Amino acid sequence: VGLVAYVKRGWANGVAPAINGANLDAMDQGIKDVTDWVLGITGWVDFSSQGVTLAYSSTDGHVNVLTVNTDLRAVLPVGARIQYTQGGTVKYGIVVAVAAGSITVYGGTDYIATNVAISAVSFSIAKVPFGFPADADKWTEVYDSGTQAGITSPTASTWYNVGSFSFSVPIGAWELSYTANFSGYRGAAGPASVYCDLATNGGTGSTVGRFSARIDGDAPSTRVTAPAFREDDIILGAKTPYYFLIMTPNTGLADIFALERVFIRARCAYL
Amino acid sequence: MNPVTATSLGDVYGDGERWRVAFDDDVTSVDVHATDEASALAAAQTWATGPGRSITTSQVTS
Repeated sequence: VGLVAYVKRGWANGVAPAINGANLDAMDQGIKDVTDWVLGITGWVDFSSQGVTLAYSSTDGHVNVLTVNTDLRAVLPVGARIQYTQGGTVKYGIVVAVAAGSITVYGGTDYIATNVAISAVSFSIAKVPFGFPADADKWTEVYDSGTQAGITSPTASTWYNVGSFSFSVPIGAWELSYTANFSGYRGAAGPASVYCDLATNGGTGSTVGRFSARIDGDAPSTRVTAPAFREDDIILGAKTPYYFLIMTPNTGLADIFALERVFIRARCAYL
Repeated sequence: MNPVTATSLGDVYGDGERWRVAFDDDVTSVDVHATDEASALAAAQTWATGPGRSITTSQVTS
């Protein structure tokens, strides 16, 4: 790369390249020029100057689809950062999908594209190119149930989506987690086991899986309660709803409950 | 904590008609098995005042 830059500068000056101090300095400058262009001193690579243009297509929550005039599939990886300008405002995002004529960008909590012209498009494969907000909260989707909910006289081994607590996780790779206080009350002698779960099947049931938590009790006169926290990595090709579910394998419970608020968090795994 | 509204869920769980009853603390709801709204409210009232119903709401709105 350095030699090409050196020769190019020599030709541009109409001078046959020679190995001397001045040309070595020129070669150094050429290396710097090329390096700056490829890596950018800020970490960004200017794609607008290479003829790449983007246009607004659609918005779904914090995710935008932008059309592109060039097929970027061979040069733009999922997880790359994007910087662009709309209406005088610099916006950032994380690329979560690349198609022949479009890219899908997660804009986090602060940077949603609108239906106006896009300019000054740059991409970066650096983790935190200059200006890109590294605060994880800006790249985390949070659901707060705001309420507590339960069900009386639950049927054994039936999963219930109490309170209709659910959250649609956007397309992309995510560290998905939830917190809840789950509870059960029997009020008579016998077992009182309770499960909770986060699953894509919200209506009629789930299987105990990677997001499930369980508490067992044999306390006829008291409520059994436990905090649940589960986290795992998921990759979604499309927006997918996740439902908070609760279940008892036992018959005869008076109720099962999600005490206090249920939180579901999806932190962008490309961050 | 008193039941204030009851909304039919239908037979979503396959065990007969369920109703979702909201309480006047604005943060609690409970699904009950009932055939009509009045029965649902009554069932929720019975549940809320029954033994062991130490449903705390102290942190829900914090």
